[in-house]
Amino acid sequence: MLTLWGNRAYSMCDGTSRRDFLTLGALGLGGLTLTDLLRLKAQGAIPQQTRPKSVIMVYLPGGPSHVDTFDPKPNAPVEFRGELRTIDTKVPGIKVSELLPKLAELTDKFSIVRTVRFAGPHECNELVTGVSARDRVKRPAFGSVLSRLRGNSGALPPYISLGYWTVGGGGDGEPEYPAYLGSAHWPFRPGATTRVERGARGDGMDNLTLPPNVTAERMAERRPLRQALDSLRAEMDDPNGTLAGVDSFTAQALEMLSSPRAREAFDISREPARTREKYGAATNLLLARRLVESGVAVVTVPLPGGSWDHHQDIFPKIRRQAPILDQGLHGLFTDLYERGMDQDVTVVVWGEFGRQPRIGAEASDRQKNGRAHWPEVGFALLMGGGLKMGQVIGETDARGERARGRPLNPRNVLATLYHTLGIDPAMTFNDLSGRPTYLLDDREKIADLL
Amino acid sequence: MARRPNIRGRKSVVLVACVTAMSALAPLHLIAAAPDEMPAALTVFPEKITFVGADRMRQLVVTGRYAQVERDVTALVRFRSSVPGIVKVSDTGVVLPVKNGETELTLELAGKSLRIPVTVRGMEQEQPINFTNEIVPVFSKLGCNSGACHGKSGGQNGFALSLLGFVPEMDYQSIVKESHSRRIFPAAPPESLLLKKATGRIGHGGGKRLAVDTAEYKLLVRWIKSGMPWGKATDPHVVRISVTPEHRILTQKSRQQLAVVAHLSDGSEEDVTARAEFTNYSERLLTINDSGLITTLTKSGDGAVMVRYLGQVAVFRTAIPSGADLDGFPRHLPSNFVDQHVFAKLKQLGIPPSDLCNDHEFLRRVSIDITGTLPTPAEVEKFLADPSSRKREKLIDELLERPAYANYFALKWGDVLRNRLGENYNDPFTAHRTTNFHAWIRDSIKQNKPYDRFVREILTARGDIVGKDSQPTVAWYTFLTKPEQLVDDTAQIFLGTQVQCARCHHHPFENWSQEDYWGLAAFYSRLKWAKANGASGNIASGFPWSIRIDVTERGSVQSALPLRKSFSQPRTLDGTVIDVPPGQDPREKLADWLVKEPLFARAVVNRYWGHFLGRGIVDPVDDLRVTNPPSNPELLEALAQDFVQHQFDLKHLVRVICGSKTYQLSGAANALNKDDMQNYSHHLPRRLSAEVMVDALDQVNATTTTFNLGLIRKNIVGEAEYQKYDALRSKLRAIELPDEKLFTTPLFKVFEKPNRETASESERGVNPSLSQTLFLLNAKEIQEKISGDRSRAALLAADARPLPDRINEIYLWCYGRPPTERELRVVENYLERRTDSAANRRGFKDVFWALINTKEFQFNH
Repeated sequence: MLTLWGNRAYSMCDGTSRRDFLTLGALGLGGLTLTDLLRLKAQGAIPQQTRPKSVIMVYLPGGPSHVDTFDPKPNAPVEFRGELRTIDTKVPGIKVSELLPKLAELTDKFSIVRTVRFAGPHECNELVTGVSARDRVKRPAFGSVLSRLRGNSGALPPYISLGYWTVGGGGDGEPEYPAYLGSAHWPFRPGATTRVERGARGDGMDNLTLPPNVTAERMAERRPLRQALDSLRAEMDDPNGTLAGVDSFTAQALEMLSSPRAREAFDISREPARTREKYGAATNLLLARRLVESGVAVVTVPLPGGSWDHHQDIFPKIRRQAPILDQGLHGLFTDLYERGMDQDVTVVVWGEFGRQPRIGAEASDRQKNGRAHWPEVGFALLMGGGLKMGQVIGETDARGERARGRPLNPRNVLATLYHTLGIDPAMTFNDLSGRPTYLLDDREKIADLL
Repeated sequence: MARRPNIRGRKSVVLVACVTAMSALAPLHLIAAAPDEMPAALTVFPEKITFVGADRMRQLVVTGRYAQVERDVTALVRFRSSVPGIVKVSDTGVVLPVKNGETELTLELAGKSLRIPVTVRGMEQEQPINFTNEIVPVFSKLGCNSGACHGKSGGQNGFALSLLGFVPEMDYQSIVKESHSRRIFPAAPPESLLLKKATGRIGHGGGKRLAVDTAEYKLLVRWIKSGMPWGKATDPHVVRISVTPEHRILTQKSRQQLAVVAHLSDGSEEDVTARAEFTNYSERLLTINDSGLITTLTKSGDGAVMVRYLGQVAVFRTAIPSGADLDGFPRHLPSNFVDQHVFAKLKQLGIPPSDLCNDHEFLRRVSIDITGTLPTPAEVEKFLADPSSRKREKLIDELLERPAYANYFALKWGDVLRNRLGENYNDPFTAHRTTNFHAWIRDSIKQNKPYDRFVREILTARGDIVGKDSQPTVAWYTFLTKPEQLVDDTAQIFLGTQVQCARCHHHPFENWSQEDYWGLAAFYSRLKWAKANGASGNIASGFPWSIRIDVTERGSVQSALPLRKSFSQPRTLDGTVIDVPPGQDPREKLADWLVKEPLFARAVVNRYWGHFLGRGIVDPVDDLRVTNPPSNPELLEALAQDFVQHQFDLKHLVRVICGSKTYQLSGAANALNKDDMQNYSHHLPRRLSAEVMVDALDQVNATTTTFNLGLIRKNIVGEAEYQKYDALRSKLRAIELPDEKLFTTPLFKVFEKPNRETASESERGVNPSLSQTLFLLNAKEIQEKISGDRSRAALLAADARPLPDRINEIYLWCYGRPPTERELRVVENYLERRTDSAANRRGFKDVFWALINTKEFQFNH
């Protein structure tokens, strides 16, 4: 029923790694009826144009320091500003950390929101669903909403997750989940992206290639046989529609197997070397780009290079990780612009909170030379989607501790993403008790971006 | 029904709220008892009322007993006072004192009446206010100290309150002293920042929370006016709260008033209905307003409402029957007490059970659930042919004697006991630790060691983890290296309850305090983690090297409470302080208490029930608490008592569960029970778990899986050790594997074999996913099993028997039953067309591929 703190006993800040098992799938009633589709088309939820809008959410697991990246405070005392210098950028007046020289050349191509305030430490749920895991109200991940609206019928699933968040929340254990939208709308996870397995292709992707002894013709014979024999009675299903969900997965999986598009979308070796090099170590950002190019509506992807939960030794760590961020995002942003995808794809980049500007403020040993959790304020970058670029939105105080004026929150960011996707966040889905429920209760968009 | 005018004073805001709620739902006459029905009798809570002082109220709950049911008639009765002017009574049954005196309140409905004596005194003097008892609840009710607002760590915009008011000292400091006392203004209380913000007179991020002229507002004004008293140390405090009624069967579209009473340390009672918070756990079934009035909707099922006041919680439970006619639906004769409780509950809810499952369904289901193994064709044929009327009981007994039972349940216990290698790549003894602990668990289950002894041996483990005199159970202490981690796992595994909230503050959904938590931790305070004899590595690094557990002879038996300057003595969750003399291992005392604690037996029977029925009586199975009530408390209690009476005999528990008709119900739902998820009216289908799936695939295809060695490196463990593990790679079944990754295979990951990072059963994934479907349809590993030269498909293709016999065998392997006529025809057609021998062989493989990719194979149903 209700689990307050989640059941992952020791989260990242206690030193253990995130889970590395592959899927947290589930299922339920897949797809939409024809009436649903027509109604949604009429509401504009399903865009009519040929290239549908999509979102790439890049997250920095663990919570990145804002003052060491996109909100430097060169005039603050040294115990706040830290050891990193500040550099000017393409847009006069916008300054960023010295570790981000490539992005500094691009500040006219994205916008920086400096005053996002988060619900609490490691509240990853809030970034994808708009509500905290500790909240009794449950909301679906925005990717699950897209999955439900766009349907699950293409060669690729509409919602793909390329990694795992720092911590899951609630009894559900995983921030990216469909809540009451039906378990067919879990994200598809094509492979593991754990520390151990990074670089290896995921299990799901291996299985997109037919084995040599199974020709397409043979597959075409097998399919109807399987269909004819899969006859467990519908009355055996449970109230969650688990068995019906398996049917929907099977239909989709067979579709993916018979179409080469799915495999090719996952295969970054098909990119020219020049393009791959642009992304540096962050090749999964390139994968994300290929996936949205192939029609996936939502891709969530962790920035590789390790956790940003820098409780200790923040500067050596950030010196290692920031260049991956700098090069990876530079590659992704310029690639999207060069391909003319910048109006159709919205990229958001953030972590689950900022970090405490006063270094080592929490006195215990492990906090030395580190910055503690700081949900009071953090940043979000937004790029593309027809939004206004080249801006800094919001201002923090002299030490970067709190917003000056009213802070924004993750719901404002999600409302803006829904806007770029052409979805009204005031649209409702019935929750499990049959009550119409808004996508977001707080639906205010970030006005300066529109 | 004539409406009486609203009374004025402290209840007015609440009354407005409830009228609004009702009008939004249905006209009053539609949701009240039918007027032509006469109650046989009336009862009322409370039976007498004494008011001391003006700030008091009493919520009446009047119940009418009708032919079959009890109904709340609080809003229907007429109230008459024998002496006018002493008290006022509202529409909703709230009694308020007006002036000193004595009177008798008469309640009347349809000719029945009742009398309540009422005494009012102390109206002339203002009662002194106690901050903790009266002011803190206001902040809780208004939501000021919630985790989303000022109650979160660090507060909100500089104003911090303790979460849900659990630390009143801190709240008092914040309000009265902090920020140069700017939050209160004693000279003109309404001008206090506290009240100006709360009433929205000046900007407040949380908006307007409090209306001027409400009882809460007046109380705060009076408190400030009287100089912000903290209260006297001798003032009584709340010991517990109770809700009336605690349990009631309600009809759809009806109402039920709740009354909440706080029981104080001086033995007195106080009505806190208006100040308590109500949390609705059954939004599908009912609504509840701030004054404790429930209105049911149009669904049937079980419901619960949590009530919280000053750190104490209570739960109101309800069942709302469907009201359907059950004629023509199955009625089963109970096999044992399990069925009596389950069928009674179903009858109460108006939900009929399904039919019983047939023999082949039962055989497959119980074989998977007890032994993690599919039945073989020989077993199927023997069981179907057995004419004995007791053959199902005999089968259960027989399965419990198989090695596979011990293996399968060792896997289950290994999960929650976290028997894992972890990330320890450099210790040659790591695999000894997990394999020894696994063998100990398996042997304990095989011997049917009484469960209380099993747990005691784990809890009190000491000595070396590896080496000559190693103690396998010390392995439990490998990843639990702090008293608080041990408390969390002890509670979650053995009491099925999650106490970790209370590590830092009073548990918000339980009656557990920090003292309770650290009281348990103190039992572990004499433990010392040292390096095992002959082990490498450095214990000080905090990494789980091979350890030994010592118990120090002396040393304090206590633990320090974070944020509070106090210590806790060893103390059990029921509050008993335990004296531990020097030289004794405090864990012995802990085990003495633990195995007698009622939660201990409840937790394990619930865990096993969840294993066999797919859903715990309390669900999730390791989250027993006041506010997560069991769906059938009588069943849970009866199972627990029976288990204790049978000396914690786990095999007996399995026999009771599997021998019940409840377990043997069909998975096919009927029209009235298809929405039921928690009352066991029909069997719920469950995906085969990762290990069972691997074994089932091997069994069906006549193959073996060669596992990868997940961690073992030759240069660390040495050549001889390496050979030992290497030789085992293709000799073990998946359910026999000792830990999370000594032996591994890709399917484990896709089907979510748990990594054993937590003691929670929910770490094991049970849901299907697209990745799993893709894996079974197309993974190399699956293709190899089906298509190998020695696969069952190849063997059967070469078999000389007539085709129908061979198809029959395929079905017995895959589904544990013969094919239907239609199925036989479909498969026959497919194979007969392929006359060429290579094509015929491919055809057999296609049939296996097809059946493996059906729901009937992939699910236990």
